[in-house]
Amino acid sequence: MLILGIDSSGHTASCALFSDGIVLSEYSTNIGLTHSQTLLPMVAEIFSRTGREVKDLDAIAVSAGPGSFTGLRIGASTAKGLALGYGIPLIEVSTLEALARNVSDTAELYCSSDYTDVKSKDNECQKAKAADDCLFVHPIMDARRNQVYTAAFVNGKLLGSEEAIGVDELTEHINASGGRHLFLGDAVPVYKDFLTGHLSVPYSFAGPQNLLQRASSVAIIGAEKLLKGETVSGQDFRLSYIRKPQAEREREEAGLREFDITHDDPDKLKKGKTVDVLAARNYKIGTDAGYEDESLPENL
Amino acid sequence: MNDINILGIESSCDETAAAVIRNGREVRSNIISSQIAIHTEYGGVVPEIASRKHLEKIDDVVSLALKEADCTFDDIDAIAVTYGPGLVGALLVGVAEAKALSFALNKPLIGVHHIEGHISANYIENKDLEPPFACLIVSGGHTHLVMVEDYGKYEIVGRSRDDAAGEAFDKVARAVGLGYPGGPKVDNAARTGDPHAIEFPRGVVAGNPYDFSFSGIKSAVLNHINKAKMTGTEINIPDLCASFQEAVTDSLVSRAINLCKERGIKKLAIAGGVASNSHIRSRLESECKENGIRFYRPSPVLCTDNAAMIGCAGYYEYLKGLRDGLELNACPNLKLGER
Repeated sequence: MLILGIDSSGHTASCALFSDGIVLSEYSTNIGLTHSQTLLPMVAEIFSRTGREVKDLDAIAVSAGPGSFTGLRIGASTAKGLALGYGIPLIEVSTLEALARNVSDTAELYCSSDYTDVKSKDNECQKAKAADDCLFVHPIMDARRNQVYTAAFVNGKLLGSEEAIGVDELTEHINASGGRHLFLGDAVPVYKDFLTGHLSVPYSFAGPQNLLQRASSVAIIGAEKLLKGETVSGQDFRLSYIRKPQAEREREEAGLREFDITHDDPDKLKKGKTVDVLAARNYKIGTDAGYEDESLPENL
Repeated sequence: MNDINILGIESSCDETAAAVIRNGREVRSNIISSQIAIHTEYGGVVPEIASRKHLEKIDDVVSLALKEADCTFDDIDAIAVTYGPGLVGALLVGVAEAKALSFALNKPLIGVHHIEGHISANYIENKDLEPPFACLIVSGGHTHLVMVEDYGKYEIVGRSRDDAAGEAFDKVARAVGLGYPGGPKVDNAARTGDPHAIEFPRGVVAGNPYDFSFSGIKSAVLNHINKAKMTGTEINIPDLCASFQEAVTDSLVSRAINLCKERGIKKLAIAGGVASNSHIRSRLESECKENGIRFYRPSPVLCTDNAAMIGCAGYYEYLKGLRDGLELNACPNLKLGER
């Protein structure tokens, strides 16, 4: 099984080849160049160094958010382009889950068995007092506006949901939860002082080698998902931005201020399903010069 | 000689497009997924939304381009992609996808200038058109008067000092409540209006007789609207649109025709989204006829952003041996004639 992992969701651009339990090669750079310039040349390098080819891949695992919107899209469109050429499936991997996986080797040592089977609805788990030896891993990514993209993981498993949340609110939740807490991600340097000053539970920070996104973690989770059949085609691949575009949020907020009660559009209900306004069409061009049709097609 | 098939990809603004072009001028497929319906709700293109939609649609569009052309990647000789100018987040999606395809399939990659694409749209329906010729480029982001000296070789004779012509159309349309996109809305409203009802200024620019200015015309229109509102006079929208359109058309047509006359050029082409404006087309057509100039214009579907024109421009770059590497980046402010 050969998996290419790609992550360009933050400042680091990273790619890795993972084959049958072995990380064959991993390239990461964080040198202030745009991912558009660095990512694909690194992917090319990793293939030439390992002697593997794109067509040998079983799947491409790619960081599917949250993260920098543009960074995520560079990773995703690169992955989609690679996959499209040979019909290779894609695997959406949560950036936060992959970050948590950077330190997964330590999870079992510290975690009590009570938390090995937590399911996603176990938000209460954090509220209930955890065993003192339970290790919560908190990837925190800078989401600006005093917020972080975060989620809590125990033994690599997600507790609750991924969200954008204020650091002060996050700190309150964590202080109420007991257990031990490990932080990693690009928001650590930003909020280290705040966390140090406000946390009342045992905590630590990941070292620089594990702090940021690594494509090997993405590829490893990708391999697990591939075994479970959790792949998608390029067409169906979607990023989880968590946040909507600002214009969309503002429009919705303005809409809610204007109207107290919202109704479903009766026309839409009648139609049963919404029309795909983005439907791609072939606009045929005649072979001879001819200007008979001087009007634009309706949807252009 | 073997046929050369170019896969063109375009995502610089709000159209996700891909096309397969045979030997530069034959369109085997021309696929467009337009986001206009989405951006209309915001009164203009929202860059973040555009980028998200490009990423969602790009595979569909490329796959359909191959299917409609009845070919596979094996039949493609090179991949041409718009790398600027445009919205950076939007450009990046097409550029990254094209680069990855080029690497995976081991096909040459050619970065294409968006405006060069628009100019090249003229080659597609006019098999006899060859440089040199003059070209007037009018779109939402650009107003240029250029001499096309050879394929990929341009002399920029005039450019807008402020707003692009299309921007002025959008702003005027918004001011009179016609909505987005402004070009076709103003064009339609103007059909029943009197183009001489209101005399708006023609935007003369000091220094270069071929440079354009549209902010003066736009401001005059907005002033006219404000004045009417304050005095409680009803605005005749068709008259206003027709008069505004006449002022813009005068600026464009006079410079283009003067350039042809001054330099003795017998071929004039137009390009860009605003080139589908019916008034600008018919005025250029008649003035070209009067002056013995052959007038070339792409059909409206080739004036809008599309990938057929990118494939066409890419073909001529391909013949010249131009190739781009995997480090090709999106250049939102790329100048015409630069690489």
